[in-house]
Amino acid sequence: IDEELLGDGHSYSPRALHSWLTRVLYNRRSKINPLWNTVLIAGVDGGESFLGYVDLLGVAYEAPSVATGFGAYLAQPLLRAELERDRDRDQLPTREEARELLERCLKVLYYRDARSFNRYEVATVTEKGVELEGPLTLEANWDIAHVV
Amino acid sequence: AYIANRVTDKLTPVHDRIFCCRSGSAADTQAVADAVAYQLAFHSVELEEPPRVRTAARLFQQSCYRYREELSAGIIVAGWDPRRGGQVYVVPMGGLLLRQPFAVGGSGSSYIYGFLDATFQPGMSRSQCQEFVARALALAMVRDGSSGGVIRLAAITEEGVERTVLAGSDLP
Repeated sequence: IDEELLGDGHSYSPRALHSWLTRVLYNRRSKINPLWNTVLIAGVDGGESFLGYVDLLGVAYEAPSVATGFGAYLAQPLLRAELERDRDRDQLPTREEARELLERCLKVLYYRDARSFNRYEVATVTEKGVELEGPLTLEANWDIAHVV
Repeated sequence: AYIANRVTDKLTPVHDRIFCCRSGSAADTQAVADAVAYQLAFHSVELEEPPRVRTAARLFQQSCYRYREELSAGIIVAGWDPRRGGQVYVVPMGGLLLRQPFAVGGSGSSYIYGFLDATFQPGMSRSQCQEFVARALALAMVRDGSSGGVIRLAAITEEGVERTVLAGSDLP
């Protein structure tokens, strides 16, 4: 993806990048020599926001919410409940709502995924570009330890 | 790996002033600990005095060695008795019995042997011991994926047992 080198003003749209990645990953898996990754693509292209998923098997799709690893089991249900709850499919959450939702998901993952840590970063993708926040630390609630 | 219980209590009493620290299979260690607790209760009635920590450790060892092929249990027995005061015995997988100044077990223990050997001093005070244990566990919890959650401490003396919990921001 070294398109910057050409300097010809052309670049991949998020959708095109996703498509290209899908081809690469699927063809590698078909040669029984996979690139062992799960990739999420988040982008904005001319006002339209895009969220895509591709993995080592070449499984690829677009959805209002995406997650990898343990997140697929624990966070997706939370994300889908929030995003598809009594709102029109095109109504996106506000930045604050999305942030709060993300933190809730990350907290659950910290509690339940053995291979997790309590530090995280957040990237917000808009027309203007990518804004990276962090590293931030998750506040965990251990009150139940006293009930055991 | 899924964490079924993030606040498990792995410090199990087998008598008033004798506890065991369980690692390995939860099912195996619970079963053995229950059996030893029963045996100790019976034994202390016969003896008409509190059982020795060494006796508790020996009881653990006898089960862990006899059934060594079937079990997956790493146990540390610690407590206080009038005969020898505070003691620590380790019964690792395989069923050997050994008394030690201090002991650690479980997958996270591998990461802290350096810290332990460099930091331990015989004759530490109660609070020094508690700080030593908390720091050691916190280090293991950071590095070992299979270690985490809260730190449970049980301080056992002639006076009795005092249990504390360190969680989240309390951790060193």
